[in-house]
Amino acid sequence: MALPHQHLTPQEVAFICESELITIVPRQRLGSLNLISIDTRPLVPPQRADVPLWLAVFLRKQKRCNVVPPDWLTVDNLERLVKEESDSPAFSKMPWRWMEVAEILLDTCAEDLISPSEIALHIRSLRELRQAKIRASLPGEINSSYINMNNLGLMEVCEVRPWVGKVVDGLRKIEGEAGSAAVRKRRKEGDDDDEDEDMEEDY
Amino acid sequence: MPDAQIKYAHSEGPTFVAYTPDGRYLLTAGLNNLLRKFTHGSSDEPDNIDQTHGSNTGISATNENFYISCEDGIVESYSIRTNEMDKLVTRFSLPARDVAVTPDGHWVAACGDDINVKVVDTHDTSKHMILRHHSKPIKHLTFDPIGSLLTCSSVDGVIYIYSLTTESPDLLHKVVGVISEIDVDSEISTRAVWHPDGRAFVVGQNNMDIAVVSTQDWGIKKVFTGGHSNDISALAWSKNGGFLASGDTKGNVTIWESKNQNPIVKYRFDGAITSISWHPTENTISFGTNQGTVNMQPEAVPADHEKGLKLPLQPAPGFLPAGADFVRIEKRTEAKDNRGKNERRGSVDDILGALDDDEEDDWLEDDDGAGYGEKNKNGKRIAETRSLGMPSLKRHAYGSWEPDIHEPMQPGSTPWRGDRRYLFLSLIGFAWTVDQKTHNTVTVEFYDQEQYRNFHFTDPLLYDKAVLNENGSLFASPPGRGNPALLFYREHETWGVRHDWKTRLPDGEEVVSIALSSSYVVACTANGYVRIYSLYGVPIKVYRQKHTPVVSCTSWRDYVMILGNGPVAANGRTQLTYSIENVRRGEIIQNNDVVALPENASIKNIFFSDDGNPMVYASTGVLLVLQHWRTPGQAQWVPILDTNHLDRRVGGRKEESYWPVAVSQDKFCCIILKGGEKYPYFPRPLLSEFEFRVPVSNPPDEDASKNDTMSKLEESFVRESILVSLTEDLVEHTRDADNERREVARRNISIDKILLQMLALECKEEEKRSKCLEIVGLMRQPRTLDMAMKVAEKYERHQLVQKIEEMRNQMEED
Repeated sequence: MALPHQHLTPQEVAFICESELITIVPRQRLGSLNLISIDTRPLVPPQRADVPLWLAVFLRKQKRCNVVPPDWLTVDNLERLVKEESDSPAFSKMPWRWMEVAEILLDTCAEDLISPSEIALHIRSLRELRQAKIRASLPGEINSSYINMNNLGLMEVCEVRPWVGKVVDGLRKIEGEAGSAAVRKRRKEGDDDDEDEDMEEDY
Repeated sequence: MPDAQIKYAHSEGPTFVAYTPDGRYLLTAGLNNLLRKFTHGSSDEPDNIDQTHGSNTGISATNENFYISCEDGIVESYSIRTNEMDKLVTRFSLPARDVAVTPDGHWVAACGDDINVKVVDTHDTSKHMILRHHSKPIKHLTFDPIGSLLTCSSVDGVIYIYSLTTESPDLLHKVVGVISEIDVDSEISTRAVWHPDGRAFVVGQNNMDIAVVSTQDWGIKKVFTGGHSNDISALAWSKNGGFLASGDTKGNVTIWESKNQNPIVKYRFDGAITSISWHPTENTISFGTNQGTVNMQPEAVPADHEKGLKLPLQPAPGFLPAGADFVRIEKRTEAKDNRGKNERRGSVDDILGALDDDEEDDWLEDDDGAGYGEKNKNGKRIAETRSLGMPSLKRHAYGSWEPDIHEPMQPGSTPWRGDRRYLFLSLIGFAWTVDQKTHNTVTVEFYDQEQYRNFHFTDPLLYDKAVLNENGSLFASPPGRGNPALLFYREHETWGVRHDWKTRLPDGEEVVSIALSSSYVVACTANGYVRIYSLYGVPIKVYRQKHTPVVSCTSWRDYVMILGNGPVAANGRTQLTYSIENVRRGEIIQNNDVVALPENASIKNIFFSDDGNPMVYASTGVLLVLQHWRTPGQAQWVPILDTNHLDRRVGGRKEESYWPVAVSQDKFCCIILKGGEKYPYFPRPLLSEFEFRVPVSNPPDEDASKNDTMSKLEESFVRESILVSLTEDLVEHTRDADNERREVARRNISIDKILLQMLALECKEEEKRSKCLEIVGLMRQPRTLDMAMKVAEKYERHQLVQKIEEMRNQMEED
């Protein structure tokens, strides 16, 4: 999207997610496709194949394949995750694009999932739990240099990024030049363990 | 044939007869208070045993004792030796209707108008079990030939099957809708009479037919039809299960041949037949009627069928004699073990007693220990009879030794279960057949619905083998019903004219295994011929397989692979051998080489993978691939996946086995079978795919932290090396193989990548210098050596860098 902002919109995140690979069981033959991102192997039913999500959705809509739901997208696993999420203060480990993938799969190929309504329910409770956690943890975590939230998905990161960025920026201004220098110094010394979710905004 | 001898044994009323398992005596019981004991083969007057009561309703005998039930609710045991009452077994408050004793004489079951069924220990009548899972009185009781199942025919038209193997008896199954509702004192019999092989029992139905009920699914397997025009009142199997005698309420008796369910002879007696008993060894049947008479019919089976009585144990109708029913075999072995623990009765030759009394009891003919009284204590005798009961899979003939052979197998097929079986399962599609009694129906379905069209046909020829591939489907029928064996090839639907053909094999030749490739049709026959046809039915060649009996065959493009039984190995089992031939060039590539199987293992499936490598899946759960099979003498069986090492099996939680289907795109496709199942059944289970994993080390541990990255890399290195050699062989022997060439390059890169990772791990340790150099020596491309130098530099192994450089220069010179 060509709008003048620095952050990804949810639509963009969902779009990027469509290049993720997913396993399908083709229902008819299709030769190899030479796509920009990947050359798919020839599809021969009933052998499983990995294709980009957008292609899987496309074929699924025409009833030319069945999608094999990813391992983590099962009722049992999600139940476990929901429990873990509500028991522990940290974020439970989810795939990087869990929300988008779950959303797209529930939307387009619910019939291929086992009990999609329950899955949808668990995804929703996970999302709410995590949102609540983000909100609860911010007052304690936020400072002028970085906040630490491991295991967030891309969509979640993009949700908090715009305003967390502004808040951190504001804090930095308040702390002034001296504070900023101290921050820089600290950064140099500190290790850089938290790569993905390191929300530092230093512009 | 001689007329029946009529004995007026009892006063007018239902009469029950039973031979002792050793065949010495015929015991009869009837309405009057006298039991009679006829000595077989003697014209003397029978011995009489006095009773205090009459109105007997059932009789059941072992070699020492016999048991009587009667209408005043008493169940008594009598000694055959002394002709005297032995003990009171149990007592009901209402009339007792039937009594049955286990073949080992340890337990007696009795039933009556009182709803409960009692199972009483014959040694200690205070020990008993009560079966209460039924809601209506039980009219008939029978034990299966092992004595572990009790079938109770209830008056409400349900057969209850109890398992007595557990401490408290379990209701195993209810068979509903096979028998009709009857009165407790009706002359009609709904007795379940076990076939001696224990895989099925027969019952009379209300349409005057006799149904064979299978223990596999408790469904009707076959029907003996058209023999009676009145209700069935008695049934009995001959000792070996080859013949069935049935009697009806108007005195008609029909003897049936069990293998084809045809009536072979009929008799007529006065009065309703109330009980039938076959003499265990001679061709004599005794019938009890409701007139109080006992009719002994000598030469009951006509002379032209008489030799059928001398055969070993015959399979139950609708069952295969050999290897088909593993479940049952296991059960028998189990039962055998259990039985060993049971106390065996002592001497059996009680030589006394004149008994009369009644009611043949079917387990009699079924009795394991039957027939030879003197030897009953003899362990060998028992073992022999039992081995007869087992389909020939493990048969070692008594006295003469025969090697254990690999049974013939059609790849991708399953045995009958209920009325259906898979003829073929593969990645193309699947074919199955349904037994419709007079004919079969064959259905073929494909995975790729777009490319092929499913089809379905009625099959009067009873096709029992099938193969599908991309071009067409091939079926083979067994000889029979006056037809020779037939091969039927049918091209899949195309836009042009669909082509199909049938070809007859010479008379009497039976097909053992068939194979279909994109250019040939192969049929291996029971007399050792290998017949090869073109796809349009032109016979190309016929030759005799060197190692027979043939086990199986499979083919891919021009190559045909045939498995046979080779020389006998040290463990008394034949070696499984294979030959691979290129039919077009007429070259034998591998000649009677051995299929490397561990001791006692057999093959579950054999097939060519999609890129044309012969694969064997062994019963131990290991998938083997034949490496370098295109070079004579160089072929080697390489394990490429051990299903016992699969990730999902880690921790030993899952009890499952894998039914091999195919190998495609370097993945093993199989059907996961849970809970001790041996074969896939309906509905068609889903296919699962597993990546190859060469058993280089133990499977990865459940606890990820304990896993050694090195062993994972080593496994990948070995696996990739095998796969690259398979692809290289393919490239070398096929003309147009651009894709495969790319594949080889890709795999070589991935091998080098794995080696680099291994090098990086080893470089961390100072003392492993020579191992590092060795790993570098395995690398295939100069470019990788450059990278290896960088790795070594990073870990400051300067000497190593120097040596790698030398190696690289050497490689570039070459």
